[in-house]
Amino acid sequence: MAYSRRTGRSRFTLFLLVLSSLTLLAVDLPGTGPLKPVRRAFGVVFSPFRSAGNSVFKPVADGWHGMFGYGDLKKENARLRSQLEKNTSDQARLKQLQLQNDELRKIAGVKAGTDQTVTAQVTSGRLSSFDRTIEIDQGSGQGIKKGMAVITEGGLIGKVSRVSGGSSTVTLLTEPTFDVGVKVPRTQDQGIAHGQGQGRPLLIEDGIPAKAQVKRGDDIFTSGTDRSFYPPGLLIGKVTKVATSSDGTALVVTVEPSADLSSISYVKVVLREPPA
Amino acid sequence: MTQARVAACIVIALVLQVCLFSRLPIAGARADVPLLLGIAAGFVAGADKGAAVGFASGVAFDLLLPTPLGLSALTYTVVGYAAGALGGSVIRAAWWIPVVTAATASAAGVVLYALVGEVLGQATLSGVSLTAIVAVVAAVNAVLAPVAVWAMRWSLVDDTAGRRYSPR
Repeated sequence: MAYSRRTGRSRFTLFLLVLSSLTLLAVDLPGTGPLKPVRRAFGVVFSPFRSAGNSVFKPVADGWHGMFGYGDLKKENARLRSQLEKNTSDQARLKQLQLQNDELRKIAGVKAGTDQTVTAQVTSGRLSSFDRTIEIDQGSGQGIKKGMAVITEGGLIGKVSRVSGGSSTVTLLTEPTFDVGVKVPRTQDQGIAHGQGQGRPLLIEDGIPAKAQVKRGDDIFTSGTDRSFYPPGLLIGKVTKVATSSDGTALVVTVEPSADLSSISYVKVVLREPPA
Repeated sequence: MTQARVAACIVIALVLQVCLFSRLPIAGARADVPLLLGIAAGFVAGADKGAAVGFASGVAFDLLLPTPLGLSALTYTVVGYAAGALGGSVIRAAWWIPVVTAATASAAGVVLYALVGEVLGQATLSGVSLTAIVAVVAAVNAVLAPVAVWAMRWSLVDDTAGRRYSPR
């Protein structure tokens, strides 16, 4: 008798708590944010614990990367050295082209005004295996709005998916929910690239016709046209594979992001208003 | 006092998760320490306390994550309850029983989380392989299980006996 009463009570507890979770989900899922103040308040309460933990555990995390990242570092070093040599020659060519470009712009009367950016530091990486975002230390106070593009020297890394006063959440471009309009400058083809998950390349499945001359090694940039959230001409990555879609009407292009997404410490947010 | 102690345990678990384990990825997978609290509570004090502690630590973790609020809460509640319900039917004496319980329940928790997340449009099944996540979460939680069980014995009070749970 006592046993069944106890089981009955636990079932009731379970029912209540599951119901509460579902209610929270229903309220929070549309992303309209009635629970935003609660999140923010909890973030504030938790932040001293977080900074204390950070100062204690940072050496451990650094040691971990030192231990398991050594092989990668050696490989990366070799790759960077070879790249450096190539860059030096590119640089000279770039300078020349820059001069030419300036001349042409003057003639055409085009405003060279590029979008303003805000530099931000990454304050936390992914918190769990299913977390696909990073946090940065600049927010609406610095003019950042939801949807803005986030870049590093390597190119586009993602977009702002949530903003608060002094921090923002950035969704990385490899995430399956991420779409961006892209362009292959060499062939002028345009399409839409989407993420396929952490550690996997982007895929362009829409927009590039099967007869297009896109090939391996082509650079891919943001198109910045239509209602794109991104300014045109941000580097995204290089084409690593080109195939024809199953119905034979389009090219399926695989794009390896050029920015290193595994270790990001500083980013820039492009202050360009997303279309309303 | 019980609530304060549970809250302290949750804060410690979150600090460990956010400041330590989230920075130690193995094959891209990260441990999930907050999940362990509900399991340990269920193991120590039965299904209803497992569900309650799981819910509390889930909501707290949800508040830090960008995923919809309630996703971790839902998963941790169910897993805490299950750990309590199954744990109650085992005669516990060996040291390895909490370890195995933690590993199994954690694995189940990860799969449940991924499935519910996928249903809610969070694309939890793409990206890092689910097998890697299950393996990492189960392994880390198995190692931490004795500590978590100790923490829950320290926190929770047996209502019928009116005292804290003692090791069985």
